[in-house]
Amino acid sequence: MITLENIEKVYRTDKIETVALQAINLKIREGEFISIMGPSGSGKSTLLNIMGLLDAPTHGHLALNGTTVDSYGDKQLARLRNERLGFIFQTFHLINDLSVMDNVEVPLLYRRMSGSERRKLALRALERVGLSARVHHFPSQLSGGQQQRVAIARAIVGNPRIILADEPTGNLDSQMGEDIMSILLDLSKTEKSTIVMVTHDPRMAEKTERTLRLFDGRQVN
Amino acid sequence: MIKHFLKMVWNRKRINGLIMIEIFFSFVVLFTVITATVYYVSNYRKPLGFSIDRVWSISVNTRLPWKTHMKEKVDGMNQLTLALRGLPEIESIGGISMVPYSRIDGIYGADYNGRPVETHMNHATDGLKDVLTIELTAGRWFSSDDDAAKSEPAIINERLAKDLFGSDDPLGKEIPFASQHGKPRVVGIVKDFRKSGEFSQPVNYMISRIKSNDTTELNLWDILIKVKPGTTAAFQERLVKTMETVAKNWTFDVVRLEHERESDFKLRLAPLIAGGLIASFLLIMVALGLIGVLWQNVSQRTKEIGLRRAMGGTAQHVYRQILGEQFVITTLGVLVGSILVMQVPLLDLIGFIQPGTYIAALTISLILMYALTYLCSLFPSWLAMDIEPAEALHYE
Repeated sequence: MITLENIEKVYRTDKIETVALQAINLKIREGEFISIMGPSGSGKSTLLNIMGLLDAPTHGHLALNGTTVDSYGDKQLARLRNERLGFIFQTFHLINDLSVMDNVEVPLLYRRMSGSERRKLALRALERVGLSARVHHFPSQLSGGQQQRVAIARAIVGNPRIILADEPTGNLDSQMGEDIMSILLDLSKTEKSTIVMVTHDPRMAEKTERTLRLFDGRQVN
Repeated sequence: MIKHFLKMVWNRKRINGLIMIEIFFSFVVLFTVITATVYYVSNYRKPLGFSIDRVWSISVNTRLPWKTHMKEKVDGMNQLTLALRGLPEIESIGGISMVPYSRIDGIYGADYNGRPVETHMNHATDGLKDVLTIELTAGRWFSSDDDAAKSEPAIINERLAKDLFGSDDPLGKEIPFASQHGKPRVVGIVKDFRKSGEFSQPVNYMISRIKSNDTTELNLWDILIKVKPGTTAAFQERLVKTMETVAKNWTFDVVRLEHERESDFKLRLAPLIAGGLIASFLLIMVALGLIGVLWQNVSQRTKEIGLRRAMGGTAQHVYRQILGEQFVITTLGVLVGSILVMQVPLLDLIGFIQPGTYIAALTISLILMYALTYLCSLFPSWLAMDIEPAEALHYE
C-alpha cells in the first residue's frame, strides 16, 4: 500500500544542514495498523508528512498502491491526499469558524459533489465517531476528546484507504486517549483502513500490529 | 463553494464587519461621484447648439432706472450697434437677453392640450445666428420680414418641438407660451441651445425675437460680437472707447465667452473634483484596510490553510478561498450600498438625472470596487499559496 524506498530528508539553511531522515525503507501492507515511535526530533512527523504527501523527500522514492508519486505536481498530489489519505493531528486542527458538520465536510469541498451528498457523508462519519448530536456545535464548545473525534470524522469522511495520525492522543487525558484509540482500532478492524500512527505512548503502540522505531532520523529495528 | 465562503465570512462577521462597512461607505461616495461624472460627461457629449469661438460679450449698463426711458435705451442700443458695425475687427453683431454661461435663466410653464409643459426661454436679435454660428435643422432664423408678422416668431429646440408636437411638423404651429403680443409661432428649429453650457442638462428651449425698434418690451439685452480671426485683446480698449463715444453716460463690461466658459467649468467641476478626492481617499483607505485585513487573515489562518492543503486543496484552491471570501465581503458591502443608492432613481429623488446615468454609474462603481478588491487580494492570496502545509501544521 505504502512503499518507502531509501527515503532521505535534509533541511538546508544558509549555514546549517540538518538530516531529518536517512535510509528509510518501509513497506506498509493494505489494512495494516502500524505505529511510529521515537524521541522528539527523531523524524517521526517528517516521515508521516512525507507519507502524507505534505512534504517531499530529498532523496528516495515513495509509492502509493504501487504508483511512484515522485514526479507528481501540486494538483495530482492534492487529489491523492483528498481521495486516498485521511489526516489526524495532535492539536486537531479544526477550523474554529466552522461548525462540527462544516469542519467534517472540508475534504469533500474539493470533490465534485452536491451539498446534500456532502452533508449525508459528513453525518455518517459523525455517527461513526458518536458525535451526531453535536453537528451544529462549534469546536470551542467541545472537549478535547470530542474535538479529536470530529477530526477523525473529517479524516474518514471521504473514505480514504490510508489514515495518518500524528500523535492523536498526545493532547488528551488517558481515558479520552483510550476512546480515540478504540475508534482507530475499530476503523482498522471493520473498515480495513491502513493506519500509520505516530505516538510517544508505548501503551498505544502496543495495540498496533507493528512498531517502527526511529532515532536521529534512522530506523532502529 | 460559494456557500462555504459565505459561511466563513458570516462566522467571522466581527472581523469582516468593519471592512464591509468601509466598503459600503466608499461605494456610496464613489457611486455619487461617478453618477455626477457620467452625468457631466454625457451632457458634454451632447450638442451645445452654438459656438462661442471668437465671441465677446458686451454688457451694457445704461444707468437709467428700471422700466423707464425705454425709447432712449432702444435708440442707444441701435446707435451702438451701428457704430460697432463700422469697426473692421468685428465680423458680426447680435444681441441676447441671457448670455451663454450666465447664471440667469428664464423658465416658463403653460398648459398644452391639458398637460403642463415647461421651457427655458431667451430673447435674441436677428444678428445672433451669425455671431453664435447657430445651425437650424428646419425653418429659418429671425429676419426683418418678421416685423410685419401678425404673431411673434419663435425658434425652438428639437426637444421642445417633440414635447409639444410629437412627430408632427412644428413649423408654423402656435406654441402656448404667450407674451403680450399673443402666442408665438414656430419659424425655426435648432438641434439645441444649451445656454448654460456643455455640462448643463438639455432642456426645452425657446428663443423669441428682439425687435430693434420695440420700446414696449422690457427686453434688456447684451451685445454679442464675433471678432475676426487674429483680433487681439488690445482691441477691447478701442471697442470700449468707441461705445463710450456713442453712449457717453453708459458703462460697458466686455468679456470673452471663452473666459465665461472656463469659469463655468471651474464652478461646475469644483464639487466633482472635491468629491473625487474624497472618493479616492476613501478608496485608498479601503485598499489599505483590505490589504491589512487580508494579510492578517492569512497570517492568522496559516494552520487552516495548511489543513486545507492536507485535506486535498491545491495552491489554486487556497488562492480562490482568499479571493472568494474577499469577494463575498465586497459583494455584501456593495449590495447594501446598491440597494440604498438605487432608491434615488426609484423614488425619482433627482429628477433631471436619467435612469441610464444611474445604471452606467452603478456598473462603473461595481467594476471599480471589484477591481480594487481583486488587486488588494492578490498579494495576500499569493502569500497564502506559498504556505507549505507541513510547516503550517507543524506542532511544537
